[in-house]
Amino acid sequence: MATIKQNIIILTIAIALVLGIALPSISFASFSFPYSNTVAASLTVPNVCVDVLSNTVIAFGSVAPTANAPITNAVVDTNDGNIAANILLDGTNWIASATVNYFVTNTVWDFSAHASGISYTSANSLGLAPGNLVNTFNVIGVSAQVPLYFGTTVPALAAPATYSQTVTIENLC
Amino acid sequence: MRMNPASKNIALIALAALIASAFWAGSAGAQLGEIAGPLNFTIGLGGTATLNMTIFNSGTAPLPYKVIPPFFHTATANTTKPTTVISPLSGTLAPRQSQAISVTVTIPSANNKPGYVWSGILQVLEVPNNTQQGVAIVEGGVAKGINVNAAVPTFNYLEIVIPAVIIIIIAAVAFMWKTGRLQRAPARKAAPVSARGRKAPARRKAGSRARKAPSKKRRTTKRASSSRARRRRR
Repeated sequence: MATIKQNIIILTIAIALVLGIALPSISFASFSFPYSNTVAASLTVPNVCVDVLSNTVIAFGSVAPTANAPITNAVVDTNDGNIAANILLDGTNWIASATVNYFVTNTVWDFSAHASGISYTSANSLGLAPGNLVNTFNVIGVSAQVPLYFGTTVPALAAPATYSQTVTIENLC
Repeated sequence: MRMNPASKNIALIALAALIASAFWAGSAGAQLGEIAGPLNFTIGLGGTATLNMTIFNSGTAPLPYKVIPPFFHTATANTTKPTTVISPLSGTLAPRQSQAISVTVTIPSANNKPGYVWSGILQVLEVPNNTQQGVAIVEGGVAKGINVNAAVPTFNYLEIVIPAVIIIIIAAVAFMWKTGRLQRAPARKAAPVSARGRKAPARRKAGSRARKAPSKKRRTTKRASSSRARRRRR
């Protein structure tokens, strides 16, 4: 009887020892279900400026030699970018044909309208394109709108004809 | 209240005319944009470099464009201005499309020196779809500043020092050879051989012992040792 008891005790101790050693060493592999991966993505938004003009035609109408078309013809420049820009201007000569033309400096501009009272000789003139861009030294801010007013004068010796020119308005950034 | 069919047609025509006039007057205008920042070139004389300018169409309609190359200005007189190759010079941007414009600048060597600087404006303009006469056609666009610097060459010490060292070594070796310090030592003359000829040492027989070298002790003959003994006895 004593022997059976001893055997039971010994067996119990042995089982306890086995479990005590084995259990801590049992590890379960961890996994998540369902499996998932992540991908890192990045995006860089650069500084940009955009030039949007309100209109692409300035009709001065009929202007007699030595007369002026007032500086009231507006073109609004809008900067749709995310950085401020400088406004640059130039233009071509007024041309009716290969031999009939007069100079681009007869077209003047300003940031405010002048119906009268401004001397065309002191107003801002356009530079001759290409290569003679005029820096208005006006910074157009983000989402800002800057109106530019144009006028023109006709030289005394200009021949009667239909003249056309091109005016360029650019944002530099 | 129902509309008269004739009135309806008039309204539709008026609406169409309004829309058409809006396009004709160009109320949408240019919507040409560019990525900000000047193009700065630093190039050696006679060298070439390429940078890109990126433009894009932020509008909802195709945008035809043209590129005006820069006119360079400099404060120094009598220089030869840089030349530029730009590609493409024109094209059409689809709505929301962007385009890289390649700008290649070359600085000629003639009449130029390191440190010279040129500046110019590169223009990208929308091509207006308007052929109206007797008016001023307004073109919108974007402009990019271009700065070109003639690079000052940097001093590379290795390009000077290594050849100088080689030249010095060659010169030193040549000098020492000329003055005889590098010449070979004269060969030793062979010892004169007697008429009898030198006898080759006899080969030792196998198993025999080598002769013992004679000791350096002073030799004394029997006679000399006996005479010393006699002197002592006296």
